[in-house]
Amino acid sequence: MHTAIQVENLSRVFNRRGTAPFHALRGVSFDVSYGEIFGLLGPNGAGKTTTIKIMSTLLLPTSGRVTVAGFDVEKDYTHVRPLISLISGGETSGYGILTVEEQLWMFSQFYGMETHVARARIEEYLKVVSMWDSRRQQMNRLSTGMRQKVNLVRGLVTDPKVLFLDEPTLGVDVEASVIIRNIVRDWVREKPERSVILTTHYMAEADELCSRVAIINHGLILANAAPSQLKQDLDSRAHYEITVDRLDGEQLDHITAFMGEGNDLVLGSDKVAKSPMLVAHLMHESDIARLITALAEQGVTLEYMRKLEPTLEDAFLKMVGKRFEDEEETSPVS
Amino acid sequence: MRGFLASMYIGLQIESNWTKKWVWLLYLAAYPIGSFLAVIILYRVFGQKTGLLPYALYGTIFYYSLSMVFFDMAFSVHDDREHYQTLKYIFLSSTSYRTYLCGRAATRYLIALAGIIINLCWLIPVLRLPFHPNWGYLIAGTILGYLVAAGLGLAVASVFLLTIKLDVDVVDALFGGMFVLSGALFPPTAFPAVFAKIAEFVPLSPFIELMRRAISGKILTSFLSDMSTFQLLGRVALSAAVLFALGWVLVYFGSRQAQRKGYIDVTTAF
Repeated sequence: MHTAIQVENLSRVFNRRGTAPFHALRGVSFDVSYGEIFGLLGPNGAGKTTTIKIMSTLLLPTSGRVTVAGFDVEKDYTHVRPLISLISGGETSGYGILTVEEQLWMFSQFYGMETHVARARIEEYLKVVSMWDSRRQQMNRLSTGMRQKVNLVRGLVTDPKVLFLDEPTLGVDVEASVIIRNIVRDWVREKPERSVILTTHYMAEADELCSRVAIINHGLILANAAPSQLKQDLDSRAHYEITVDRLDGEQLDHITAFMGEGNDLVLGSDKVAKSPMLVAHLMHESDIARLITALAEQGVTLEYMRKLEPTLEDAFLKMVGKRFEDEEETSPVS
Repeated sequence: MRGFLASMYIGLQIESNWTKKWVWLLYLAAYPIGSFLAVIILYRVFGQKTGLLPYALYGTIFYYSLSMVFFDMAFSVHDDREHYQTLKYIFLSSTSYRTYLCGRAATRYLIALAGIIINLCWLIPVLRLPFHPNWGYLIAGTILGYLVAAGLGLAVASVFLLTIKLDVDVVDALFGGMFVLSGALFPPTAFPAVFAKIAEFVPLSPFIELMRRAISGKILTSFLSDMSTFQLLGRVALSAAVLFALGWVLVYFGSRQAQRKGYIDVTTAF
């Protein structure tokens, strides 16, 4: 059995009094293998959290089917729950009156863990997130980042097979985000039967962590592939940014003619160095050598050059026709 | 079992962890005094001739042990969901939410009993209340009382799982209505015949009357006097079983409906 999660034609409609029904999910399908970090990427209101809520048995679907480790989340939820953990970001969950250690122990008991096993794991993970010294601190005295680390430890202590991470780094500082990302990556590598489903609207986070990403918008999956594949599908051309000491229109015409059809060269200026800057969109990676030769023949000296890599943001822009932030502004929040 | 004990633990921490232990013990003793004093004043000043003070005071005391549980259960749903934002994590853990609620109810019941015991230590000698306990009935009644309270609490919780706004008025109305109808404060035989008959079938009535008889060793009024204490115990056992089963089933349906509506993790900033 290689499939940790199977989502088939999942739909969810929210009926709200006085307003038209809101279709949060419209026939979403994907699967997640063991050992995989699978990302659900989309703006607010795209349907990411709704999907994760259904997969984690918090919400029932309107139609469609989800299985976790072969168990139907709607019918066999008592089999699903011991196998999963959910960690949501951007919230201050937890009993403020409990210490970090008490809070984690208490949740371990809800999973039937023996106290000595739970205590050993709590110690291990609190040390990993550099919070062992804060174990006797009350939850309400912790910063947002520290609370989120405790939340992460709570999710890991019970040793789930499937970990649902819903915007795990939302609202936490850069340092805590890096720690959280590293832990998640290491946690999956540790045992092959583990898998993670990550929802995020941080493109870089998905790019860095996920072996596969599904781009979701308005309750529809627009693409489902490895981040590198999504970026590659975006544009097969190679893009470079080259800052030079001088370059006029006449020289550019010569170089453009030399490079031939299909290679586009756009002259601008480097805003920092105030030098001419050439943006080159080349048919083949190898054309860069010809371009450098052409520039040299024109007596132009290269000051700086970098390859422009497409991002997941570009992939989103191509699929949706809007930038991520612009889409967020127009999306209803589910 | 671990889940049940952990929920008892969190219940205890929520109740007691806000201050030093001795202050909490003081609070535990002082908290119910207000309700008891109201009854004492009512019957000492205005109802001296009725001789109903032991009836009303014992009734109020044992009603308190139940009401604290179902009052607390309503709040625990909202507190866990809105304030602590932990309901969803409890809900999707291996422990069933019903077991969790039963654990919370057990703590609240034990805390209420502790408050009662502390207060009885001075109320009985100071007010010369009849005290000829039948320990067997008292212990059996206390155990069954937990099932009655937990059953009612589960039923209340099932309703609050499906409400986004915490409507304390509903709980207050339930609390007040049951207080009058259960015969805790005065014998329902004083009601018109129809209401008196209804009072006999309020599930809390036999429990309160059983506990009155078990602690005082007497039948204090004619309310339910046609039943022997043993028969009362049977009636309490029956209502405990029915209420607990009902509450258990209602939370199952309430949870499924809350899952359907998306209310398990809804936060409204109320």
